Amino acid sequence: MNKKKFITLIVSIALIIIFLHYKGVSNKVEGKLQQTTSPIGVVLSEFSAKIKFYYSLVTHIGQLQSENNELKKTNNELQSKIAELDEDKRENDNLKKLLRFSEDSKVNWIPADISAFDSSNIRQAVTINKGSKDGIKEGSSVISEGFLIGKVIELRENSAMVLLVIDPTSSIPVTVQGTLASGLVKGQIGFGLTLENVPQGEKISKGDIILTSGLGGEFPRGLIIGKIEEVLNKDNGIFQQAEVRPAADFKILKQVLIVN
Amino acid sequence: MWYLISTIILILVATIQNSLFESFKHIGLIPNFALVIFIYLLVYEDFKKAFPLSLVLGIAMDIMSTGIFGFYIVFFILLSLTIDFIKHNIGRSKSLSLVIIITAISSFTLIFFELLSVILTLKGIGLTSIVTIMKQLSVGALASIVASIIVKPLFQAIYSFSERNKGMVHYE
Repeated sequence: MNKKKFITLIVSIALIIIFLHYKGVSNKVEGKLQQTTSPIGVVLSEFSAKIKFYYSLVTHIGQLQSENNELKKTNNELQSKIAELDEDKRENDNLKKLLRFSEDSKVNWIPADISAFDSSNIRQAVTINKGSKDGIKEGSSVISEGFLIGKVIELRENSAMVLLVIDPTSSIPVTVQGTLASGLVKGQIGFGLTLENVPQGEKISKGDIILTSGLGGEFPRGLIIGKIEEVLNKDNGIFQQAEVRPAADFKILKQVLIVN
Repeated sequence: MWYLISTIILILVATIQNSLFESFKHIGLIPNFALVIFIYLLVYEDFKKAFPLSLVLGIAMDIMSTGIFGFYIVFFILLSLTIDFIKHNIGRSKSLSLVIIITAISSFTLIFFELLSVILTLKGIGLTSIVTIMKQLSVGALASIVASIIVKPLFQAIYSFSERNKGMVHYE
């Protein structure tokens, strides 16, 4: 076969593959390929997470010591709060019984491992090794260590793509814990988050916890996203802005939970 | 047999790139090993042998990324054609300098399209953000260029081994 015909053949095959993808015909084959490489991806992702964990352990040993002391102090405070909450729970249970409240929790948690990271330098997305076969739905919230990390944007039979909250295109309706302030948390280029659209009248300050508001129904209410690191107040602006530190550690993502 | 082994290796390279290396991308120094290895293959191997592999690597990368499907397929096909053009019209040498130049050009092309896709998705972007992205991605491109130098001894060892084997079969 001469060179021109050979090039035409390969380019035609490429166009057919792309066409079949957008027609949805090749989804099963693509799923199978991803399923085959997924175990290797999971092992490698776990391995890299371990390297990063030990690296940060070595580089932050001094900081860890002071953090440890701080955590001990916080732990003591939390212990006393738990005792208070236990009491509140008992009271709450009694009240529920009195009101005949039906506890109908249909929340389904599906654990999954990260098998791949998006190769783009700007987009922040990961692939997980569970898909529609395991009951995952498009739009489901994804949690790591108790904190919201993203949502499912693309679904295959045995895998799913998760758009992380730190992606520049991500935008989540939120509230600030302990206040009436609400706004939008948006992903930033370079692994950060910003809180936007908070009306000037609302009082927000450093250390405030950001929770999902549940507006729009895309994410359940009350999932922790992060903490306010710095309030960027402009006197002439209608809205306030703040830098938010994500609660989840995106550098060592390994296992996640999908909320259905 | 050669196609089967190369296909498995390229799928493995794409998997390693998207799991082990990309998980370190917050450091900003992640070389695109998949790209570097593919460029070596194109520069050192015969065009007819290497060109179909642009489909393999393109499909693998497209499946594993969240971007527009077909982007990597088209990118690797165009890259193959460009390298073939350079080999035939500018210099046929299987040289490291050709690998480095192609790595640099293709890395910056990838950066340009990534930036373009973000601008289109966000419908506008600030100049400060563009500068941040450009800085971050230029470091990534530089890392790929450095990687192309590091990978050379490994690639040459594999290449000369396969060439020697080919010779043995020929003389038998």
